[in-house]
Amino acid sequence: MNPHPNRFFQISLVFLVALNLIPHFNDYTVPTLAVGGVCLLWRLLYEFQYVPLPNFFTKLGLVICLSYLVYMNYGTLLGLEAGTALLICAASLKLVDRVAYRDAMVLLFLNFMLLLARFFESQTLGITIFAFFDLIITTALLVQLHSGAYFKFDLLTLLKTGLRLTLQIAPFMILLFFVFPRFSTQFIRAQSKVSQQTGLSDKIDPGSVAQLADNNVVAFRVRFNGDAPQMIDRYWRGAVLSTNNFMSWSRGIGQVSKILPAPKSKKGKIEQEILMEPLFNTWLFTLDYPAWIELRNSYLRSITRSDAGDIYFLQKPYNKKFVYDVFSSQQSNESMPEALRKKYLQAPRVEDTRVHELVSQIQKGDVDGELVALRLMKFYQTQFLYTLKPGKMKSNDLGEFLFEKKKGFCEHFAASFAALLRLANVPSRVVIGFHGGRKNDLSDYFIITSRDAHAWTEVWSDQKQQWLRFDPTVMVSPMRGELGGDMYHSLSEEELQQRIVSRDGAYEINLSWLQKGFLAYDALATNWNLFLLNYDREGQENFFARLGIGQVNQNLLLTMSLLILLIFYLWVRLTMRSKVAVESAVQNAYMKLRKHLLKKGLEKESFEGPSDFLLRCQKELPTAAEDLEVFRQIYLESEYGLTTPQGDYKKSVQRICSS
Amino acid sequence: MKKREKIYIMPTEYGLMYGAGILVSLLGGAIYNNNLAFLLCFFLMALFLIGMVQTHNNIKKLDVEKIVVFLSPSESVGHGVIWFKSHSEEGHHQLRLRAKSGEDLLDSNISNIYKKSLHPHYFDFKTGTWGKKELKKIKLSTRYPFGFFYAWRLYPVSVEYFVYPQPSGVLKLESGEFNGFNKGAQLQNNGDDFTEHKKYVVGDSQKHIDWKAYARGRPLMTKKFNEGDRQTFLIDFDKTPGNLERKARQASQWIHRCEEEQNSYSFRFGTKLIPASQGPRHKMTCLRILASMRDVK
Repeated sequence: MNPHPNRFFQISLVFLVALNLIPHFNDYTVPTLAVGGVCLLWRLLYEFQYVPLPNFFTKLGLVICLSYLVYMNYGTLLGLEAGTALLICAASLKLVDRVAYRDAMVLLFLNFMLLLARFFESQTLGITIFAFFDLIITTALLVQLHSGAYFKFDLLTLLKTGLRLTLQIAPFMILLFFVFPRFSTQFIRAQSKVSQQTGLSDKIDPGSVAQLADNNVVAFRVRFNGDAPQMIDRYWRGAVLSTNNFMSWSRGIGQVSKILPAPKSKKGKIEQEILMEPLFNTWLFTLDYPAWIELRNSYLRSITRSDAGDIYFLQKPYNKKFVYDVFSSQQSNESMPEALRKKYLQAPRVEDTRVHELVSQIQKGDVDGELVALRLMKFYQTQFLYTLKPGKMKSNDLGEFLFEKKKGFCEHFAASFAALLRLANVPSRVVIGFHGGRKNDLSDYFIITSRDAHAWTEVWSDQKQQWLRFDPTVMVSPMRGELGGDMYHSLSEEELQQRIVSRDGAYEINLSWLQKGFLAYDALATNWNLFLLNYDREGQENFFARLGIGQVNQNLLLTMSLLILLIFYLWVRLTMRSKVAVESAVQNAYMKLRKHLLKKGLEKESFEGPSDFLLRCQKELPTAAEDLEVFRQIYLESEYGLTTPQGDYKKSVQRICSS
Repeated sequence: MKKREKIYIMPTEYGLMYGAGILVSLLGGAIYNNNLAFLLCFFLMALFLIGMVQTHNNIKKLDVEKIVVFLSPSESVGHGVIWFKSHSEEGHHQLRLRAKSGEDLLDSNISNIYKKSLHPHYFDFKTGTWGKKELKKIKLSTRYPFGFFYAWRLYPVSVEYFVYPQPSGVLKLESGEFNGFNKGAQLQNNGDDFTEHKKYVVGDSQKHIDWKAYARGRPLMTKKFNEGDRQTFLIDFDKTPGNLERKARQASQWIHRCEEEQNSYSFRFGTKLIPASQGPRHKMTCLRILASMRDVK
């Protein structure tokens, strides 16, 4: 007879399922989660005896409808996301199925699986902390379920039990975590539907944007191996836009190629470790100017490509965090073949005479792009206003922006700047990426957010034979350049004015305790993420190398893991062994007597109590009957009586044994 | 003398399900290079091992001290008591006791046996046909604490017990002579024919206890009377009509009827004669003899 779960347990189970659905809230469609919510509510109402559980046909209908819903959403019932959606539905429907022991066990199992599915989606610190508490509760409920229906439901004691068990397991988990061999299997890949929330597209059309959304989402985090470059040089390039249509720019088709393996010597390069968030399209952002990049994940490495303009991107979207290393130089090594020169000079025909006048003013007969660009920068310094709310332009014309509107944000300035240079016969292009970043001093890395998103211009210098970066936005709004996007946009107009006046050079903002707390958490979370993402096969090898163990192969690690498992099993047996109770002296004497009587062919039968047995022995051994009776009386008093037995039973036992 | 405790253990269907969960986490961790999946896998693995050891320990160091199965009616519910002696310092939880003897089925749950204790567990069991029976072994099992494993041990026992026939029959209890049920001698009982006191022993009819004397501080005594208008019957099994089954059921009914009406009765079976008496002890003696007519060990 299996224990029947009691009501407190049932309600706790409902809350546990609800708890496990919370982390999936962002990733799954409303109908899937709505079903979860309805089932949770139904079960709660059932527990409080307001409604009955649905009948068989209703349940069958729900199963069919939900399977169809998942199929409609994901186009399949297989794969990680469809599988997780089915898991959510299964847990929800199980809640309204039955309330027996079997159902409780299945639900607890589904909770473990929901947690596992969550891990496949994200490995953040938040999820890890959530999982720790979730496992404590799940384990505690597992123990409660098997303690019987009449076992008092004491949440605190239960949680203590769960915590004790989890902590007992923790050292073993940690040890096995480091030792268990990591395989890099390529058999199955996560076929996930990418839910891109924000990002940078591969074209800009600033004229059509009235107002730039001020959302502050982390794009990536960067840790420099060595000194971090100054703000003026912290430009991370994403896409290069080379096709011009007045104020609009889009990406031209270049020569896409696979990335080359990194050379052994990395001397003189700025080394960065980038922890990428899964939200920003497929661009791999690299500090200007990237020499090469290294991806640690073999799958990602296989889908990474490079293109003209020193850009790197993933061929397929990847909706998880990942880490890659970038090695950058101070200057671009890209050459300018004659065939490409034409491409970088392509521009539509401009009718506006004001534009032509401006072009001839900045050109002044010079042929080198750098000089022309410098003259144009001066023009931007005096004429424009930086704002995130420029309003829409009537047309896509350069003239309207340059001579009428005269306000905008980085995209307006970069787009018009590069377009003007092309009209002046200078090869140019627009680069979109990020500029700035806020340093987290607690762990010495930079956080780059969507507020740091930026567009700038690159100009080809025939004299230097290289691409040079020109950022007209810095000329329009030097504070934007000096503070970086995140800090600049987080300050109010008054604060910005004060800083312009004071010009003290100290741009640090006094952080509130909440912001400090956020930075501390972010530091912890980033390190945790980097640790988890980096501890793959290569990471494991590096770890053992750092420990001085040297090269360890997978077979050895597997053997070590099995050994740890065995040691843990023995340790559990040793610490949890059923300790033999210390018996009383009379009990020990009784056991000794039984041993002696067995030699004489008198074995205690299982249906006999000690008293019956000793009485039978008295009949069988009349010579020892008196001593046996003395011992019987003493034994009964000692084991079942209320007083301390009197009499020398030891001598009686001795006499019986020696007879 | 101390025999090695033979405890068997195997995973339950839920244990297999969680085992599959461990495998899924391991594969998931390897395929997606997911370290948290690995951690979950190791957690479940450890829980699995702890579960195995604890389930095993829950049934360890537990001896059966004594079993008594009470005289019970057939096709009904029987009762008994089993004493467990725990030698463990940990205690035992959620045990299941099972035994089978012919059609008799014992299935009982034990919530707790405290550490280092002698625990009497009163159990009910479903009885089948009547007869003299024997309980040869009992099975004690547990799934505590996680339900991943099922551990059990068998205690070889040898307990004889009796299941008497279910009382039934069409012959009525009358004070005339008829088949198998003979009217005995009639004696007077006018209320003044108290003869003597007799020390009460368990099984004597409680109706004759001298409660007044007991209230005065004397020990429990039963009053003996000269038999008056009370009837004494002879239940002669051999003369009862019908086959063994019908005879036994009819005899069982007469015994119960006599007891209900507080009549003395003697019971004869072959050459064996139980002298006339009345009361629970007498009833038990007669029913046990009746049950022993069929040996279904």
